[in-house]
Amino acid sequence: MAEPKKEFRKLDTKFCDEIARQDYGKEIKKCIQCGTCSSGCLVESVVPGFNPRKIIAKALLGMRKEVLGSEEIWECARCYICTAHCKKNIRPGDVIKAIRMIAIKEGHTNNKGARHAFAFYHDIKKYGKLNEAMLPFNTQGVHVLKMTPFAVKMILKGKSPSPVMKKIKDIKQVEKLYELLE
Amino acid sequence: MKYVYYPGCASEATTREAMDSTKAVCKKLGIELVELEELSCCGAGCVDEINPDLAIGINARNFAIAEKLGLDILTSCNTCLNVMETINEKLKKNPALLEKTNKTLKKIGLKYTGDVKVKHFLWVIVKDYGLDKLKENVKKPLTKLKVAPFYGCHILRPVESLKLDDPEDPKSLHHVITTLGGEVVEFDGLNKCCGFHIMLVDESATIKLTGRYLKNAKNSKADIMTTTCPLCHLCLDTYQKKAEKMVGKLNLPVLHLSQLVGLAIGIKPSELKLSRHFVSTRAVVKRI
Repeated sequence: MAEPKKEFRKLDTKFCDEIARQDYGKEIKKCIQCGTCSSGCLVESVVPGFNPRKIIAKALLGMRKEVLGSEEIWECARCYICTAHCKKNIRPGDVIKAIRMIAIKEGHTNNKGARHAFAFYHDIKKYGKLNEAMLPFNTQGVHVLKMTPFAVKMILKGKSPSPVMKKIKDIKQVEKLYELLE
Repeated sequence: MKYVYYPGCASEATTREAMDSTKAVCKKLGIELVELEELSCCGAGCVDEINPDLAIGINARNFAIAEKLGLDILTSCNTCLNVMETINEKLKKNPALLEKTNKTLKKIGLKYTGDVKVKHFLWVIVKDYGLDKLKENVKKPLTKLKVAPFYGCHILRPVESLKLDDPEDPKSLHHVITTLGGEVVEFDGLNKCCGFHIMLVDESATIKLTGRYLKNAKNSKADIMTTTCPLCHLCLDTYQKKAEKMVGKLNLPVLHLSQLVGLAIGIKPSELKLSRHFVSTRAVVKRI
């Protein structure tokens, strides 16, 4: 048999099985690429290039590396309009969530979306709650400096919370859950 | 009527006025809220991206604590509602998952049987408390106000968990506004997404979405907007000035639903912490 073309050799045909093994991604293979998700997607209407149908198409084709390393999987605003509209009930928003989960597991964590998720993960372990004052820094790193004028306004309005956190009562129970389930 | 109160992290910090006004309204209406220091963050749909079992574990812990008191949970945050209800529904529909979760909970001395309901403040007002009773409590009807309702996503979708409204044509917030004497202003986007959950990932996308809906409401001659979600409020109010750079002058005051109810039932604006907003509410409050 002839060698497949170079661009096809890179495809990982097992990628959609991997997504389907996740609870959130289990219906991906039913996708018929009708584009209903895309037509109602609000992020698509404001972010050039964002397209949930295309993300799923690439995943089904096996473009593993490109999908997992892409910025766009972190652009989904989790509004669930696609999920409410999807004719095949594949829950596109959840499929993107399943893809994010694989991306995190594979170490694609040096991006704002993953750092945002880890901020919650670490704060809850430490305090039981989110440290909202530190969330912009934990998500954006030094780029947060751009937000300084806005932060000053927040402080003046008394809307900026203290970065010093009080732990919830019985935080030991939460710590134990992390220990058992991590 | 008694509930465990779950304000959510945002309402305990940046949008503290949402928590303060919810408590003030519930007190005035005779809805008892039990505040517990041991409840953890729901994970906001972020923790499950890293570890779905852990997201179930921390939420089941919260449910078990409420269940021990024999109480349902009242939250004033759409995202908390969505995350908690989605996990709660999974636990209720899947006995094997509930059993597995209980094996873990047992190690911290807790048990959850699936008997807790998570309800939004809006739902409690509409269903449990009732609009007739709310009407009896109205002291200052909002007769001169055109109010634009902004539902936000996570009180409407995904549909299975959140059944009070038709996500395509929600009406419950409309009914509350009418009950308070206000005039409902329809506008395109009242059931759409403010973009909050990508605010820190792609701020310009959030501002474009927020600006679009504020502009639509303004074009429909709204005097104010009201929302059921503190996270939507952060976009619609605190980001409004940034949105104005894209869509032009807005100056549309945005009230948390609890503040709108509070004003109509005669709670002082200072108690509802209206001064914490970026967009001044003073002119509107004077007209009530």
